[in-house]
Amino acid sequence: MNGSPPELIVQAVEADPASATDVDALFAQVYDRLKAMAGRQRRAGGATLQTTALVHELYLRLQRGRELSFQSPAQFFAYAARAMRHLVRDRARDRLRLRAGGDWESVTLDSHDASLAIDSAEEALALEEALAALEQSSPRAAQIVELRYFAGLSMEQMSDILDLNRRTIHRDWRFARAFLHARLG
Amino acid sequence: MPHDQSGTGPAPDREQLERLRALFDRVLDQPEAARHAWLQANVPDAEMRAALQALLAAEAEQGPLDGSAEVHLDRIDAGRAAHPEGLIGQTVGAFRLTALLGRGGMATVFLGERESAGFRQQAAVKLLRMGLYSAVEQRLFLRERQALAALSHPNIARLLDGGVTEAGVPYLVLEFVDGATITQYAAAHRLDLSARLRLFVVVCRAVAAAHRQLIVHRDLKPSNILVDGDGAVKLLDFGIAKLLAEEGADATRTGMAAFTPEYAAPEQFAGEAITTATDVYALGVLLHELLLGQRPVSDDGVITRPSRHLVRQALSADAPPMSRPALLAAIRGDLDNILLKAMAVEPGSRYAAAADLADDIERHLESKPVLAHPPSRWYRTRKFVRRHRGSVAIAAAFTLGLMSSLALALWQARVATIEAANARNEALRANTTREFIESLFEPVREQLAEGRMPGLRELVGEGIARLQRNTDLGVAQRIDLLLMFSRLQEALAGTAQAIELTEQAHRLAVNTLPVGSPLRIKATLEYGYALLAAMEFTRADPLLVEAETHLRKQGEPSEDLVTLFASMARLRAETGRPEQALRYARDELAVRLALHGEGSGGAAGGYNNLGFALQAAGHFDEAARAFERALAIDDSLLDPQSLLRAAPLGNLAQALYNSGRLIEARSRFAEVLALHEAVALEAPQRSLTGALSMQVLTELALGDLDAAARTLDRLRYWAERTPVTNNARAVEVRLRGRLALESGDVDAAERHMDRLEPLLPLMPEVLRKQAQGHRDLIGAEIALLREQREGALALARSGLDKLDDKVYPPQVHRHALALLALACVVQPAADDPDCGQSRDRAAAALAVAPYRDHPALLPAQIFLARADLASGDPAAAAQRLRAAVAVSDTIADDSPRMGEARLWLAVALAGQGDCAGHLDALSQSRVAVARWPGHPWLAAAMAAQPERGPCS
Repeated sequence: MNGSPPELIVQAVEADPASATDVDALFAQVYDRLKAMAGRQRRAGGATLQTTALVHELYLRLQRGRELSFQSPAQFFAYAARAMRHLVRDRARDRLRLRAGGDWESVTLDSHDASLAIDSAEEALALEEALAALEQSSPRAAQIVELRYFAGLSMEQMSDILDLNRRTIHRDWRFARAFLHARLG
Repeated sequence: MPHDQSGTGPAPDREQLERLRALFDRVLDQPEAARHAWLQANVPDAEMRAALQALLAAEAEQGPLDGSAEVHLDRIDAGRAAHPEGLIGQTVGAFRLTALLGRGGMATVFLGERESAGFRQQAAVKLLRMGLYSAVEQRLFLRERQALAALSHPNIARLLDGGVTEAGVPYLVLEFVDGATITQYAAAHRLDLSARLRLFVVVCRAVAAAHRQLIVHRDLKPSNILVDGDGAVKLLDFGIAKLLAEEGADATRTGMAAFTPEYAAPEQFAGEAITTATDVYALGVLLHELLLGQRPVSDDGVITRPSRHLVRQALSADAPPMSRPALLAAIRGDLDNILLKAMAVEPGSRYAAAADLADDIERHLESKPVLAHPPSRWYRTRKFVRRHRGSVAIAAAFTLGLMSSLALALWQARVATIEAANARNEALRANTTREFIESLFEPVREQLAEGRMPGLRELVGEGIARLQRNTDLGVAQRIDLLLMFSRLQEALAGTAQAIELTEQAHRLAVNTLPVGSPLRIKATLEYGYALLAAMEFTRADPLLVEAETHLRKQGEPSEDLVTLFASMARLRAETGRPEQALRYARDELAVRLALHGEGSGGAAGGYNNLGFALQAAGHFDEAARAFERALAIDDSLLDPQSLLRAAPLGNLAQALYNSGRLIEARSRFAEVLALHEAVALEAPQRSLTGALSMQVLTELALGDLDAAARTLDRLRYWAERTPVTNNARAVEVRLRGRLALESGDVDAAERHMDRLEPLLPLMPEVLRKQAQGHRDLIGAEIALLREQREGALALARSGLDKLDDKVYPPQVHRHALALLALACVVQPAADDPDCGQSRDRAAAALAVAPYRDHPALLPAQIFLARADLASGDPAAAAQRLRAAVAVSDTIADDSPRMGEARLWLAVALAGQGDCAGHLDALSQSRVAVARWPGHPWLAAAMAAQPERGPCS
């Protein structure tokens, strides 16, 4: 998981003209979200190389000609979702390092926020670890989590992208959610 | 990651997870009310059923996945200010931050404003880039800040306020100075040479004022010396570098240089003692810059003569507005010498204080001869200094006057107390004493005139010699001075000379002072302590006892009594009298409580010491209570994240382990580990590796082998960050061997123990012997499993030899005793002297609390029960194992230890003819037998089950 593009679990749908506009809209939505999240990270000042490189590469590809550079929209979304997942993970690690270090500049002057942040960072790392465990044995369910939680796709959108029926996606999500929440305790 | 994210459990394998998934989908298809019954009916495997129930519960609850990652990211970033600008508008102390003034490596400075009664006050608010994460660090910071606040001088920017924000960010509020740096100011106003010198004198006087209050700047440089529009000089940041430097105990903050290299004195680079002479050096660099427009050039630390520098370099635009030859003529001579003296490599060769530098500049301005010597003489001095480097190294660069008046003040304060106590007999002859102390500093005066500063060592040596020769001093003064010199001597040179001086003081006191005189008691105590520090227990004991008798008679609680009782407790514990040590520890606590009250740090120290004494006396439960009390007090005084809590927590965890309360011990060790690992250490402290290895032992004893394996991984992670000679490495390896044996993998256990061999020669003798002892015990157990009986006996004997009853933790020795008893029975050797009593010895050692009921000794009880069986005493074996199994209810049922215990119990019960009990024990062992197929312990115990007889 070192910034390499995730392998796709399912073959993407052939781009069919009818759904092209939907995919476009979806594309814009994910792109905006990714941009906003990366922006948050820049604002917070913590540049972790891997994630920055990943996000940067994604930008480049998008600027060069959007989905043309990706073999399929599905690959793009998988890629973007993974980038966002890394972003959250790295941010959480930074935050916990910070607690040990002493970089006041990034530290709030208010302790309530600080403990919320630490708790959230610990939770994010626990989620990351649980998700990695799920990925080992149930990669499709793990990808659904990435697309839904990290990239913000709806059931319907995932169903379109992954060419899976909604019932399957729903069941994958339901299981993954229960599995992860159970492990997070 | 070495961390075990607790609570996540082992990762399920793929197949298991697929089964779980399939069942989960099916149970969710059931109506909610029917799910429980469906599970009961369709999932026979209890573990799987529990997992499904956990999933169903999680399914019904809200959790992080119901939000979005963006919200999560925002929460992680909660309150983070992206750039310092982000803090603008926030309030720190009484000030609202309005603009960013600047940022440096150690701090960022904001303009702060506050309004009161229509009057707007501006200030510079400095947020320091260091965390003060514990209450102790914060207290230190606040104390330093108070010292700085007392520093009041028209040319020093005042410290208005300071503190720590709720989130632990320390800040200082300083008088806001709107001005240019001194060098910018001089260049911009084209100040001539004498104006620059006069400006510089103002700076020196301000620094001197701070030095008089014993505050050293440590980071003088133009950007800390501002001149405002009215031409007034203001020095900034006094003592702040020290605040930062002293705070850097945490490994993550080292490498932060709290000085500016261009202005730093050689001793700052070398990490040596910082004195007022350090500031003199920086002032020299500043003067160079003011006079030449450039900073000095040095060759291997020795500054190039300024006039020569001027010849070689182009004239800077920032230099005084005069021609190069004119400037050269002005610098050459006095100013050259003054600059070189200020920037001398050896602190002792510089001006002793900023005031002396200012005086010399003023003499130069008035065309009087300056003190700075021409280099030929300095050269001689430097040679002398090189010859006497050791003594000059700690030269205190305080002024002569300061030093002698300080010493006198200290002395008088102490004599005043003595006088009050024993006024008539030991009246102070103040003049004699004053003369004596002043005479001590005569050589200093002489040597200073020669241009050097004597070291503290020399001073003390000289003082002792003079004291021996002096005949005017009274007995009291003489004794007191001897004791003073002995303390100085101990700090400087160690204990041997200190013993000699205290012995002299004691002899003098005994010969001249009445019994019970405070000074005589004092001399007795000091002599006793000096001996105790040198581990001369038998000589120290009677002295301390004598002093104790008198101090107790006085009846007043005092710090002297606390120290005395603590020392006595240590002495008696070290000399094998734990119950007496315990009485002293109780007395110590009582005095501490009387002095400081319950709930004070002093009381916490008392409970902690009492805990140690109780532990040494084998009262582990009581020890745990004492440590709990100490921890509760510390918790009320310390930050929850403070690493200082690790010590009382660790002590408590050890006591809990030793009293057999393993579940509690485990969670306390986990707290210790969390504290250590939260501070992101680069190299582990001994208490971290110690806690990890104790945690492994705890988990092994609980039969939780998976957890022990994970903790061992963490131990390895940290052990690898220690030197190869560190005990942690050997401990990790042998615990690995123990774990492999416990898991039934005998070959792996042997391989691990082979890895121990290359580490042994690197270890200190005591630890090597212990490691070999553990190695031999594991070897003996392996030999028994392989039925190599002779080898087993030899190894068990050798292991026991090396692991005597002083080895920690104390269960180890008992384990070894029981193993030897078993090895002796399977290899009957009637003539072996170790074997004759081995069973009785082991039985006796395992019959007393807390060892009788200690879960970690279950294997030892099994060894001994097997020895009972082999000796034809199934009743003793059955009784022993029944009791051991009953008290070990915290041990996992499916662990090899528990399975083995039950199987041997079944053998013993069958031997007694108790077939119902036999079958019961067999059936209870099933869960372990199923979990550990082929485990040699279990296999051996299975093989011992009766083939015929009533119970077969």
